[in-house]
Amino acid sequence: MRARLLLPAAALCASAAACKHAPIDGNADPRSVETSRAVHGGGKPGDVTKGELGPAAREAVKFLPHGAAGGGPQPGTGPGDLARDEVPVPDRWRIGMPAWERGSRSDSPWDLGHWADPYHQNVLKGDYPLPGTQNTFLVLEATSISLVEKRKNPTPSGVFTRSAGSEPFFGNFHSRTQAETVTLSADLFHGETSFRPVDWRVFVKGAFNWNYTEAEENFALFADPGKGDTRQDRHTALQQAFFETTLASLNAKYDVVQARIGTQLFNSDFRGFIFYDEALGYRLFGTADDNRWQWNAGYFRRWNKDTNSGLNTLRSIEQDVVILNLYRQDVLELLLPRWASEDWSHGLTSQISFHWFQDDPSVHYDENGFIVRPRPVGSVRPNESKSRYLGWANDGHIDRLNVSSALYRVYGEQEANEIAGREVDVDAWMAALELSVDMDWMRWRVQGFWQSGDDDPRDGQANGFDAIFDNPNFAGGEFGFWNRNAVRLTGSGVGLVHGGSLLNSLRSSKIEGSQSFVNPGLRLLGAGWDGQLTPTLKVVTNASHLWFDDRSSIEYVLGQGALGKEIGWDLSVGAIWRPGLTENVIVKGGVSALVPGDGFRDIYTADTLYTVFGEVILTW
Amino acid sequence: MQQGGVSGMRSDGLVSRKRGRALRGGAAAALAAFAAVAIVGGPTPEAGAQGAPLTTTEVEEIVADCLFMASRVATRPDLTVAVVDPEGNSLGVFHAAGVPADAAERENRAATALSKAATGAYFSSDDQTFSTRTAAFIIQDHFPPGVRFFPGGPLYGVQFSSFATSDVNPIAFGAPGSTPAAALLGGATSADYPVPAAAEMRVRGDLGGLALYRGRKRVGGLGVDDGRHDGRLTIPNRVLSPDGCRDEYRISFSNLERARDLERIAVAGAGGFLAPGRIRATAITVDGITLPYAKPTRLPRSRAGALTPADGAFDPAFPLRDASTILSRFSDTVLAPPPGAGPDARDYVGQMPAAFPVQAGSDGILTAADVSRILWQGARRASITRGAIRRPIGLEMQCWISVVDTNGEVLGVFRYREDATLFSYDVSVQKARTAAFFSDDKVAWSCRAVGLFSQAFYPAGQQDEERAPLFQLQDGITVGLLTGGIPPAGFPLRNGITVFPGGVPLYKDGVLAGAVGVSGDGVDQDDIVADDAATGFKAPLAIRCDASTGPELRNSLRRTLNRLESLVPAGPAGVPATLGEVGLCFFHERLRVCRNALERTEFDVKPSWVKFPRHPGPVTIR
Repeated sequence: MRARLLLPAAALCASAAACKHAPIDGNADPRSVETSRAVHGGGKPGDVTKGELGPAAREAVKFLPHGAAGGGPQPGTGPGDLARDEVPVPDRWRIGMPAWERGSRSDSPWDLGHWADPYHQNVLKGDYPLPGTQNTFLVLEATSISLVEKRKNPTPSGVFTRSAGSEPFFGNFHSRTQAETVTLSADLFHGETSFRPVDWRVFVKGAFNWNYTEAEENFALFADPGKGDTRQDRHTALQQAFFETTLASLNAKYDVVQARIGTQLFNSDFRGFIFYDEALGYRLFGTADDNRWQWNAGYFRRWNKDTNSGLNTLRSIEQDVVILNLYRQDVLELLLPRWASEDWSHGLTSQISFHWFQDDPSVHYDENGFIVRPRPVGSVRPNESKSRYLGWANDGHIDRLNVSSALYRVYGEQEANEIAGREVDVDAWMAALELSVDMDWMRWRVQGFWQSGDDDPRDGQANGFDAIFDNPNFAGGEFGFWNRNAVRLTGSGVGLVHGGSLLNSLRSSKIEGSQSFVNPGLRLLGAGWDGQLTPTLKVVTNASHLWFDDRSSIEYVLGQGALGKEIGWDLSVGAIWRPGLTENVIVKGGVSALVPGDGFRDIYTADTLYTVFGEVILTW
Repeated sequence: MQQGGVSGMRSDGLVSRKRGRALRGGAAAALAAFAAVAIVGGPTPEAGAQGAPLTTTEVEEIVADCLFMASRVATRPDLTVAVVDPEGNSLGVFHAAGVPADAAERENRAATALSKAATGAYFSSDDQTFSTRTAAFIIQDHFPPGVRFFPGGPLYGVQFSSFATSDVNPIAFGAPGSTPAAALLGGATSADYPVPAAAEMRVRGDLGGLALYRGRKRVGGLGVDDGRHDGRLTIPNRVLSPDGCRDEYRISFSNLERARDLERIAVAGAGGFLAPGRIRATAITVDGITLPYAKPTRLPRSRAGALTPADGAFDPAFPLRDASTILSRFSDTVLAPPPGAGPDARDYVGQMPAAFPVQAGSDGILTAADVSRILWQGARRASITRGAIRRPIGLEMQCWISVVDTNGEVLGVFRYREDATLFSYDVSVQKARTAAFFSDDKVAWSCRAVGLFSQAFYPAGQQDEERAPLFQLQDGITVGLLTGGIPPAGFPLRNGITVFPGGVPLYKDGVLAGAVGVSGDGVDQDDIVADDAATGFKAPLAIRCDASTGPELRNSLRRTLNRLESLVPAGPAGVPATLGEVGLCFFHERLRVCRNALERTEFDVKPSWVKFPRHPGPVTIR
């Protein structure tokens, strides 16, 4: 039983001059019991009649916890409080503050709030413990993401055509998508708000997605051409549900060892090159040496994804992932101790990682009727895949130079790679490097990316790189053409590059397909410029030149030789506008284009492809 | 990754080298010698240059190797081995000693083995080789087989071509002077209504057939059969039952593997005459799917001896023959450009069959000059189109171009060039006859569109939907009418129909004049050649089936089915008494089913007219 805190009346309102009791709400006098009850809830009418407060209670009602403190009776309004000269307060968080108008309403730190107001202290935002508890907090969050996107992407005219005269292979390239995603999350934890690692936590996040897509050709959206060229779909998902606890506390600096069990979001490196997913996981993680070291050790089992929304379903894919990684902040002070006191040796975080991945053979069709496992290419047979990744990544800055890099090597085996038609040994590389310099409100950036490609698709060596489930924020991220869009390898059943990935992986689908280590690879070299034009408006621009690393695998799949090396130029411009200068309303828009090079023209057409999108993200 | 006993040679994946352990002494040397022969495709032959015809000694060696391998596979089948030359002429059919003496049984086995051998030979050229396994792979209801919701194979229904009763190109030819149809008709094979034996003599998708090569040149085909029916792909013995045609009429692909031993025997028997690895079907993809050739086969460790009389004997109807004594049915031809073709026009060298010289239409619409022009236009497009199934990538395509008139008479055939696959001869005429028969002055049909309404599922591949309206009409026409022995005189579809792309009708002054059919490469390639060949005679856009409404399509198919029925005698009143009546009964049964299905079909998806390849060119190797 915790001692209830008692506030002697004398402690309140030390000097009358300091307490200005100006009403906040035009009509409400915070000193009145009715008003405070209305704002804070709690208390029973008839407990205390107006004007009959004792001396302590009379003072206590002037000192109300600011923001929205949640339920519970108003301090001082209990039946025994009338004549008391001390007033019990439920917890130390709810010690009130005098109402104090300091000029503009929104500028006052001592405002009374509303449960829906996230800008002040709010019990629904984990600023006060739940009533009746001392250290149990609840954080609720809701987001709404509304997306409209228009695309021009190579689309075959299909065997069952939409219109007469569709002799040429390629049809109408245009398509349009609208999607609305609403997520709700609840985070219940025991600790001290954000002051220290939590003792335990239960986190649940659900999502609902509605999407509508319109294309101009049959076969673009469904395997059944009879279903036409528009598609509307809905999906409700449980995106995260986990329990977290602190197993051990190592020192007084809050270095801890924690465990998190359940469906959780995990990004295995800085930019999401290998594994960035909400998967069922059993993860140990922690810090050491005053948060200079951070580490993770986890086993994950992935959920199958809903095809049209990308959200989780409640079916498990037979894919097992084990991830071990270790971060070291200010790594240069460790590696170069002689210069440890220099400024430039601080600011770079380095990471080494090991991923182990096993994908059991399976057969799976997506919701639109297309087979995704095994891939409908080469010799179609269920395929077992085992891969192991060794990685080294960096993020941060060395003096004024911002550095972000990653280097991965994957090795493993596939029992029956479809394109190779046989058992293969995997040995492939991936490297990424981004250097940038900030000048005042601008950032100048150069980037390079390399995904190795396979030089002989039919031999026993698979040298093309593929990730587990990547979602990279690189080379323009969501604003870049090659990263954002999916381009199918028309004339086959697989994709060349997938939405939310830079890799030319030749998977059937990034979210539902299995790894493919026989692919053409990618070389990328580019530059960008980001500018915070106004405090509310940021502009991101990017220009990258893309090549295939080795075209042999697509030459085999397409039966077409002598393909050119170039994919083309990826040019993009995007803007992020935050009208309220907060993260609660974000409006994003972008235009990206791919100007084809000779290799791309050999496979597709010479048309310049583009994507235009607009997105509104509301967060509460 | 497979480390063979022979250093420096990559395993081709066909001859299995899974056993890496050392073999003792002489066996190792023998295996190395035998395997080396198997992998590289033969040492420089003593008898003549590359491509020289098979000698009788070589034929006997092949037969002996087949029998030797047969004695070592688990099931030890009693074999019938057939060897044919590149044009399907029999070089000999050998029955092993254990084959029953029953004449009908032997005829049946000979027909099957010859069909497999000729299928292997007909589906191959110097730039690509398909085995009967490849043929089976591309004719199923889904492509690749077993994957739901994918449309049917690119050569859906090709097993109903090159029938023994075809007036164009039967699958195989016997000894000079014998007529295959007469030799094989008759002979019940089961207690129920039998299938005419001639129905078994056609393109076969059953394991055990492949082409023979000397170096890089095709010199013939090899087929083996063991008389069993459960490993066969299509047409079971019992075609009719009291309640009509059964759903399992087409056996599923899984039954195919029961004849796996026959494939092993054929690979081992071919020995040094196996095709080079770089042109095998596994080097070729269609829509990204790798075509299969044969599963890996472990060769026996020793060699066969010479053939002895104790092993068996050649079938008297198909004795051992010297291939060099057989004359080709085709003569080299130069196709000159038509007048007014422009200064860049050039000649095209190819072949024409002696049986079908260029002539004017029997219906009086197309002239001989029109036919020549159509053939030349097709050859011109073929010469700039990259062969999808030829390796190395960049070779031009080769194909057969045929023109027929509205009565199905063949007005001209051109083989561009001399290596176009031979099954395509019969098929190109079938395609032309199909397009001509289904089209009229109100609605024009291409073979591609007819095919989209003829697969098992409609829309193609969607197995949750109804059967397509013309499903198995092809079977009724070919197995029912033609092999039943009653092709009516002047029947416009007298060698069957084709239900995959490559044929378009020809219109002259707004009136149907005939059709052109192209076959020899991928179906998209065939389509672009057919479309270009028809330049000047193209169907008016307004009456094309891809511009017609659903009711117009339904009415058009109704008219076609009515016309078909009017050309054929009525079925027997009671139980069929002869083989001919069985066939007729089967045909009318299929027609009735198609009529019902046609009324039920919702024509809500539009068929395409033709489809061009994604990038038809360039041709980089000549």
